[in-house]
Amino acid sequence: MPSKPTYLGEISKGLWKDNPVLVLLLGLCPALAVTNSAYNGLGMGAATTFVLLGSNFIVSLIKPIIPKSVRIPVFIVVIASFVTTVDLLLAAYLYDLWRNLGLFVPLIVVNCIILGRAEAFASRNSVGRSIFDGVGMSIGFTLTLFLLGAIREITGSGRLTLFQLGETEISFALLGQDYPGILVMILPPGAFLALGFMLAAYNVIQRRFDARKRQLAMASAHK
Amino acid sequence: MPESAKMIIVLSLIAGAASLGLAQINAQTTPLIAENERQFTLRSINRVMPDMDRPDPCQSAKPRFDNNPDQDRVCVDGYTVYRGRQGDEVIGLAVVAVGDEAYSGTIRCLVGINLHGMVTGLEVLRHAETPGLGAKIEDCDWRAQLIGKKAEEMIWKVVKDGGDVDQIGGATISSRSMIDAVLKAQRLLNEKRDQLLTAPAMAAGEVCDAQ
Repeated sequence: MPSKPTYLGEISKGLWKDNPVLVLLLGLCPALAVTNSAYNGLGMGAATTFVLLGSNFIVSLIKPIIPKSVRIPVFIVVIASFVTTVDLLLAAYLYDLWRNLGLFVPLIVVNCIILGRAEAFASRNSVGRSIFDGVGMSIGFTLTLFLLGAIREITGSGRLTLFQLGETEISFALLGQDYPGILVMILPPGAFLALGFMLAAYNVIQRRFDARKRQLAMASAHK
Repeated sequence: MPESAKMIIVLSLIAGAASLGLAQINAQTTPLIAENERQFTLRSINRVMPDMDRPDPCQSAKPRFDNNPDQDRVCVDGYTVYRGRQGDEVIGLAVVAVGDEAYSGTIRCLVGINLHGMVTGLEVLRHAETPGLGAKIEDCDWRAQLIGKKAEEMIWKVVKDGGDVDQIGGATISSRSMIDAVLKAQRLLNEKRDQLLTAPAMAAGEVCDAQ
């Protein structure tokens, strides 16, 4: 029964049903490029979260005054402003993470998740709903990047780094010190391999879920 | 109001508001970013001039100098060189040296060298080598064999080329480039010793050409 979408629904759809990486296949450039470690994936996710929340908020707020024909330039100005803000703030407060993410922070401007949500959601929905959509999409994106980074880091080097700032580092040698490492997983091809397996796993789970739902529906229809 | 006028006004207003906000944030963060960059440089300089008789890149140590080497820079032959001092006397140098073309671009290093010509430290400032292979130049265990040695104490080539340095497996080119950076620092000390020790420090913000 299709019901009126709830705020909670806006959040959960980003996690699973409309997961930006696994279902919408958006924002793959950062998803593939920076996820050679779990921590980098987490950092990229956090930076994208800030930009997406900010742009969804501002776009839904100013949408009544934006003429249709200039909406895309306006969205891009808003998004670019938030990205520059993140870039400067990271350089000022999380310098080491900023050095790791390097080139990829400015590239958030062209991350299609953000423009996509501005165009498809925030410019058509209320401020509250847009914020919840941003939260859901961001959590989905961040978790997926973290998972992708963790899979690549663990298979590639046998370690999992959760935090790294200057000299302090929290990391675990999960597969033991002698693990030889599968180098290709840390290199760019590993990103495609890992993502492929994740997509396959997603589809298997989704199909089982659908099949069970169909069975339940049939059972209740026979009653 | 015609649609085109509204378009122009709205877009200009939004762009103006965005610029104003960004200018504000830029002004706030500029000093913090400059300080971060300075701390990063200082941290690398500390590591290549440690207070140890047998320098070990895998251990953290206090710096040997008591000045601020990042403010005591000289530019000699296109190399940026930081001078570490005890009191007034120069006790060591940290040379920014770029090794030969490596596997992926060049490797930018900071080579610590004392006045007897002993390499006191070697840090990688920037590289784009393959993670897991060439990127092992960052492992302190590998770099340790280049440190604590004087120019005449060994043959500064990889074993494959008939030298004394164990190359990183699968990354001979990266290893050669690192050695090249050290050799450049040694040569600079040999040839320009006086200039390195006596040249007046560069002003803050001044850049050294070539590197």
